[in-house]
Amino acid sequence: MGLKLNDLIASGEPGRKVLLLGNEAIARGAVEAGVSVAASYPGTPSSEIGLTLAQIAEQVGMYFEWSVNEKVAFETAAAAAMSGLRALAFMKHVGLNVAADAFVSLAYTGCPGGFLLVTADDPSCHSSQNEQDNRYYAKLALTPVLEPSTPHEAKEMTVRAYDLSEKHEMPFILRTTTRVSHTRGIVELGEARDRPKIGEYKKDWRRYVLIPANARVRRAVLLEKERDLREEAEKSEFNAVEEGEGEIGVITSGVSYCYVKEAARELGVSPPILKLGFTSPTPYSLIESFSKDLRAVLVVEELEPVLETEVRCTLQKSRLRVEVLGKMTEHIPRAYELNTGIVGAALAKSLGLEWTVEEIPEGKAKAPPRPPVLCPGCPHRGTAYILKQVVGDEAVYSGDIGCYSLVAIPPYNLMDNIHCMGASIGLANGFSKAQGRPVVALIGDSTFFHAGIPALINAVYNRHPMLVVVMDNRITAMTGFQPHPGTGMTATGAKAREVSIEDIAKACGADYVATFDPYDIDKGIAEVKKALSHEIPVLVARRPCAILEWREKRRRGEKPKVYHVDEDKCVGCLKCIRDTGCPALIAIGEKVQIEKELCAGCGLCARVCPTKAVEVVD
Amino acid sequence: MKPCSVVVCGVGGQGVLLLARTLAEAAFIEGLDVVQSEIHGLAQRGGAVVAHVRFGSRVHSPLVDPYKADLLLSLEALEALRNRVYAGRKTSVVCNMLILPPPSAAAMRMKIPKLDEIKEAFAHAKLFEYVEAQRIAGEKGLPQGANMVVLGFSFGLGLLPLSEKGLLEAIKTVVPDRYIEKNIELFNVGRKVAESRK
Ligand SMILES: Cc1ncc(C[n+]2csc(CCOP(=O)(O)OP(=O)(O)O)c2C)c(N)n1
Ligand code: SF4
Ligand code: SF4
Repeated sequence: MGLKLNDLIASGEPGRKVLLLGNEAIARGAVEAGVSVAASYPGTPSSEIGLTLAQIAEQVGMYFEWSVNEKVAFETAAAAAMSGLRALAFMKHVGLNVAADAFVSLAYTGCPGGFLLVTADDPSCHSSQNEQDNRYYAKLALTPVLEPSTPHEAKEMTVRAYDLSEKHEMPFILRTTTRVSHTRGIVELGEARDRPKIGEYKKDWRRYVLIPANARVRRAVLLEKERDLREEAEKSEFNAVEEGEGEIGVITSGVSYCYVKEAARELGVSPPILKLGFTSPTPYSLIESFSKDLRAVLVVEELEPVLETEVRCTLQKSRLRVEVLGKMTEHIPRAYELNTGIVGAALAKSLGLEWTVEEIPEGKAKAPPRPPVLCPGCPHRGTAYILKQVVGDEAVYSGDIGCYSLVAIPPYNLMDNIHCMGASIGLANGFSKAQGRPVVALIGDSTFFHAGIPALINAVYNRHPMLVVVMDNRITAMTGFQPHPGTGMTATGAKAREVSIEDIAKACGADYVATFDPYDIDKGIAEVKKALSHEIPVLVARRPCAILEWREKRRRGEKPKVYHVDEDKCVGCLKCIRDTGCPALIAIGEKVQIEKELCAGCGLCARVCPTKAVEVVD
Repeated sequence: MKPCSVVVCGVGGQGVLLLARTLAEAAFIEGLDVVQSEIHGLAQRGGAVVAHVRFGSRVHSPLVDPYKADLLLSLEALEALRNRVYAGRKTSVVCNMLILPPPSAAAMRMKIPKLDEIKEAFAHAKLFEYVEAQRIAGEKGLPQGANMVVLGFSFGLGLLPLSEKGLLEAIKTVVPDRYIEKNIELFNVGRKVAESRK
């Protein structure tokens, strides 16, 4: 399946229609636009762009890398665009927080090669720590923004962005949301451009050396470009008026447009609609001419009232007395993603109509919650168990983001904070000064490379006692198994030099560095005890992700050893389930059984069972 | 054709997304407009998974609204219950006869609703059918294939406004080559079960 689709993305003929995920459509857009260099750090909902490019880059002659973090990804791509090549950087919304410094500077210098930044926002925080609206970044750096409503549009905008970016020598933003990135829709393929491998860096000191004297000049250039780009937005093919009836119009962008269309159909109305795809710089004249004969406009967008604010400014500037309805008038909620029902209710209210919803009384039976759990055999489980045994609950566990974040929830409850990538060690610096409990920082391998290292150096330099545990499962698991510098493999599967976490920890000046296997509980307990006698020890808990192991084994045709419960010995205390939270353990009646399809054979449950009822199946 | 809205749900690892994709491809093959949306994110198995598929002459919204599903296909009974919000009076529900109690609920000895209690919660729906997809797929040696039994069963009951040809073609597009034959076999078994029930 994978291959067939990737072949189409890599070399499908123009005119052909294919069912693609929004992210796959963006990857195809990069192929069509002749992008030479693409770089990213994984993050939902942007990751499939990279998962696709990793598969096809070689075939189409593109360079693609998973960079160590978003800032480096952005800079890698930016340099390509500064060298005249077309370049793509993509990341989840919070990734831009990490890359923001580089981003603003690129807006100032601009670049001769086309540059597109894809930021994938996540309304409703489906897989994120916040629901920030990255359109604000565009306002901050005065960069133009395209907002697709569908996968097809995502591809079209990707391609068009490069022409515009080169014309204005400005980086462009393609802002998607989860329901565009993770929606499959019909995409019509287009012609693919040539893809040069090597560009040319034309030295330009006044432009690229942002010392104050030059930056001041660039600021003026940036404002000039904003004016030109506004003209571009005014006439963009992505901004269109759909004629309709009545004196109440709708202005909308992104996926919200789809909900507006659906809601209008259900209500049997056809208000005039201004659909904006090129949203920033705001096309003032277009909004003005659309609104001038209307009594009111309803602005429909997800998250912050960014467009709504612009519409209000536009109308006030042109002295039009048109009522603006939206988030500020509480027609549309600010938090969480929209759907047809929410938009339908707002549209109905604006039009003085009724939006009816079927009323179904609550049922008696309730579904018990099903939080995500660590997989059977996950190495993070053993590490959590070991720390619980030795360090216990007394310490402040400064946590981080990845699969291992799941040790923050029952039955482990082993993280006291999760803020952002790298914050485990970062916050631990302050905790060790500001409060009296011992401090443990739990960080994943990919996360360590991403943002952990400067924080560790700070701990050593400023003497902040803490135990750092790098939970090294040999992959970036959470986001779909991307390689990183510690894996010895590049994004496209080539062999790379493996960067050693232990060597880095030593070079940072950690007082003690050791490694243990989280399946070997006794050794792990001994290692943690030893480490605790040092001020700033770093422990690496190393064992590959169980899913990877399982795939490897299946490829080699090996069967994992599995465990089973001896029914006669099981007293139904459920200690195994409570201590391990392993999904392969199933309580049936008064006893526990092990689902042999799921068991990965780690043996942790056998260790914790007080009656030794869990045994290896021969 | 007016839009048909399907919600597919189950537990991670059961093939929810594959089933949703098969439906989307089938509609696409028939020349219909399609949108399908899904939530990825956590790589782990064992979490709740849900995907929305909508197709028709013209469809816009990638999401099915509460109570507005034409069809709710569930690969696990507790997940059907969790997604009950999509089932209105016009909704048909097909559910794999399988309960996978969440480990956390088991640890806390929480009460797990029984199959008949779950069915009861859908008393308002147009139709609710269990199909022993798990048992059938297990017997045929492909326990991950329960999704195809559910698909075949729904088709056999006449709940899918899609052609058999389109669905089979879609299975061939979406399923990895070495599993195509088995998947089609499971689809057909599901369909026969439905026909025998009519
Ligand atoms: C700035 C930022 N970039 C990306 C992400 C998405 N993300 C969450 S966890 C993670 C990496 C986890 O990898 P690792 O540390 O190796 O832990 P694992 O999941 O393998 O246990 C990523 C990329 C994020 N939350 N924030
Ligand atoms: S995907 Fe790997 S790292 Fe993540 S929970 Fe499963 S076994 Fe653990
Ligand atoms: S040995 Fe026990 S804890 Fe480990 S995977 Fe199997 S059932 Fe789960």
